[in-house]
Amino acid sequence: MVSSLIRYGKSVLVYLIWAALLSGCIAGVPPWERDLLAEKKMQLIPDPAENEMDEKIYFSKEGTSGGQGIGGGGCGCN
Amino acid sequence: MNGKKSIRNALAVAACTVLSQTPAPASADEFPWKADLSTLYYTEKDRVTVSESIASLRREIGSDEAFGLKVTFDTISGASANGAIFGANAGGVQTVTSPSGASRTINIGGSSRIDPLTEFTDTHIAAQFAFEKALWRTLTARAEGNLGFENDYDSYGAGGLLSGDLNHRLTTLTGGLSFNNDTVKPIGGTPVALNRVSDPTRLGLGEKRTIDLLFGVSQVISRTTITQVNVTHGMTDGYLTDPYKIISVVDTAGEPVDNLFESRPASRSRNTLFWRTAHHFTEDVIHFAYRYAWDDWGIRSHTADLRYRYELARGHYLQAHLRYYTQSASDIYRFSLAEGEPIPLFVSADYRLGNLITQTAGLKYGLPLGKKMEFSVRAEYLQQTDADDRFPKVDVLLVQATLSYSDLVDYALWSRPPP
Amino acid sequence: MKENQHGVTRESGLWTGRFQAMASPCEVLIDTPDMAVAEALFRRAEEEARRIERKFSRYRDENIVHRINHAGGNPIEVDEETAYLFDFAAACYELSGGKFDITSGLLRQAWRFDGSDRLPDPKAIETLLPRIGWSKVRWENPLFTLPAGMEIDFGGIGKEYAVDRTAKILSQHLQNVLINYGGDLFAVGPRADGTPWQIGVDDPDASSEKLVAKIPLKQGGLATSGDARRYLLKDNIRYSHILDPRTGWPVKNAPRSVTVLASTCLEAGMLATFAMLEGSEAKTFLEGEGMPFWLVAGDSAL
Repeated sequence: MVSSLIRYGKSVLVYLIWAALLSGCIAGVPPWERDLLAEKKMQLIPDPAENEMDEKIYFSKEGTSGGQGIGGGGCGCN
Repeated sequence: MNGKKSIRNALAVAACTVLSQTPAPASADEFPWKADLSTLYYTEKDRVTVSESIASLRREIGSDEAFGLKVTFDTISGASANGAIFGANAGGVQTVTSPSGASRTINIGGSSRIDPLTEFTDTHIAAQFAFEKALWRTLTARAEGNLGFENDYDSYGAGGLLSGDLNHRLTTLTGGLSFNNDTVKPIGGTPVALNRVSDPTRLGLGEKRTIDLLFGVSQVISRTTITQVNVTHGMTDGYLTDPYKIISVVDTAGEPVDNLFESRPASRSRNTLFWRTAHHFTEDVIHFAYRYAWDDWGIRSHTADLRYRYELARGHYLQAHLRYYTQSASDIYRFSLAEGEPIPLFVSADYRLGNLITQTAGLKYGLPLGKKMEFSVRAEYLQQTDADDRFPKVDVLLVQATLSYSDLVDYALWSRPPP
Repeated sequence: MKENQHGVTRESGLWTGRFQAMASPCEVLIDTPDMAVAEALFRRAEEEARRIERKFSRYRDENIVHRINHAGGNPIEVDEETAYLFDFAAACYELSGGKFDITSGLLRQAWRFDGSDRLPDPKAIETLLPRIGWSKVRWENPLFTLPAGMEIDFGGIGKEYAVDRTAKILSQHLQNVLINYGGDLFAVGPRADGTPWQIGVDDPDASSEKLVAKIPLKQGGLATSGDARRYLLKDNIRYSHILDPRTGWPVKNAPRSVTVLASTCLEAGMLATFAMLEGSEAKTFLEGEGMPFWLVAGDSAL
């Protein structure tokens, strides 16, 4: 049950990636329509300080970490 | 007249082409700095208290270079679970406090026990230097160096990222590589794995090396939606054991009869698949992320993270945060060892390698202070529970305040999706 | 209403902001009740106009135009925005049959259009002509090579470009905006109540008292090309400031003023300029193109 759910999730993810890439090619968003995307709150990491604190907290409290980026320096907390 | 008519049409096309490009690269007389000042207070019920501050500065140099500096300082004090079992016959005493820095043996009711919480204090200071440069129109490189020092831990790292924009800058591909060289240096040296806590042999420092690789794609889907998928792979080798973690050997009644220092493999390979998307409702914004992570120690985890930013009047906002994390235990995880059983080569009772669930809920309030300054404060509550219901749950409260100086709209990005 | 030096003021139900840039009076009309919005949009507009002026003005010595003009025949790598403008200039050169040329600015050394009768020495013009001509430059994106002694000048494009760029930027935030940089206009959208803006077309001769036309504009670019107060008059021949770069001499029988309405200000501006360059054929040209225009015919018997 769980493994089939995971498999399903993975195929959905693959579909989403392809849909994203294709829609980018077809529709396109001209530069002057990227006003909303340019807002700080719409950045992939809108608040770096919040993101960094979260990353560090969960790095030190959980068995797996990372994914958003790499590097950033090690710490003895894990 | 057909030939003439084409002048107008051709002009219209040419004009449209000119206007399709990059609005407003940052103008030279704009203040080219960005800064964040943030401070966090983190407290675990009956356990660790952390206070951490970050100061980060970024300076654009012309339109295609930037330099960044980030300094982090934190102090940690309190008690952290070391994996030992206190046992039921401890006269009702759950924990004991003392100012020492290592695990303690306590005599209760005639028998000696190891306090399952290790008291410690530490300070950590870290610095990051980063340099970014546009190598070519759509190709940007970032190089960074990291230093971090604690009383018992040193870390040196370096890394690089390369991002290229494709498809009229709707798609960004990112590749990255980073190295880290860390030294674990507990007072007295690293205990030999699986030695008795009461009488360990101690060796010198522990060293570990990490290489991380990242490949990512970010994609503008529409005027209001952007998405990103990252795949990372990391390899660490060296001393990966935690020198403070203990595993208890228990008798059939569950009472601890012996305590050993834990033992972890000398290498670990980690993978993540990370997907994030942000959607703009022209006022409110939603951010969602999902991560699947797995490693060769047998841990599998799923993380879902949701942030919804609700706009109030005049630039004020509220942001709700929900996070759910669940992991399956590592192959080396044991809550305890049974008396008489052969001791495994690798074993750890660190709850962070166990069947673990973390749930987080938080709220943030932000308000603008002038054109480019923003202040925000958030409070989050997180709880960690054992899916096997063995180790006690961990309750954390954190409060973070941030003062941020930057453009609220990055006009230069009007032609470019963010990296 | 408190008047601050650079901010917007409330004038006849509109927020109006003014500044001087690109050697012209610039004006932004913003139809919103919210002063803070108007102020922010105006500042953004001014910022963009000044950015373009800084970057592309021939009169600055720390910009790309200066670097190219002083490269001594060496190739210069240009940024993306400049590259787009070169592509546009190349298109205009071809579409006008060589009559619109951003390398023709050197002719200013010979011609001074001050309303007098001092015509230049034809020999002076002859010596300038070898240093003029887009066909002599080498444009291989991103490298631009200008033969030594030649000059480029975005003067014929810059203002219109600034208007359109400003419009693109402001349009993200509000539609009820009219931008007017020295007579080159763009209406992002109609007024807040949906009615059109009323644009007066100035008589090129009268000291702005008399209007040639009143144009209702809801959306689009409007540009005027003309020789108001910029001409020479000798032996009853009026020499318009519109020069034909192929001969170095003014276009004969050019209209006094041409105003064109098109989908962008750049397009309108180029069509108006092309029409002037057509001389006596201006009206035929404009009629052939089929967009709305207003023309004040030249009067050689003046």
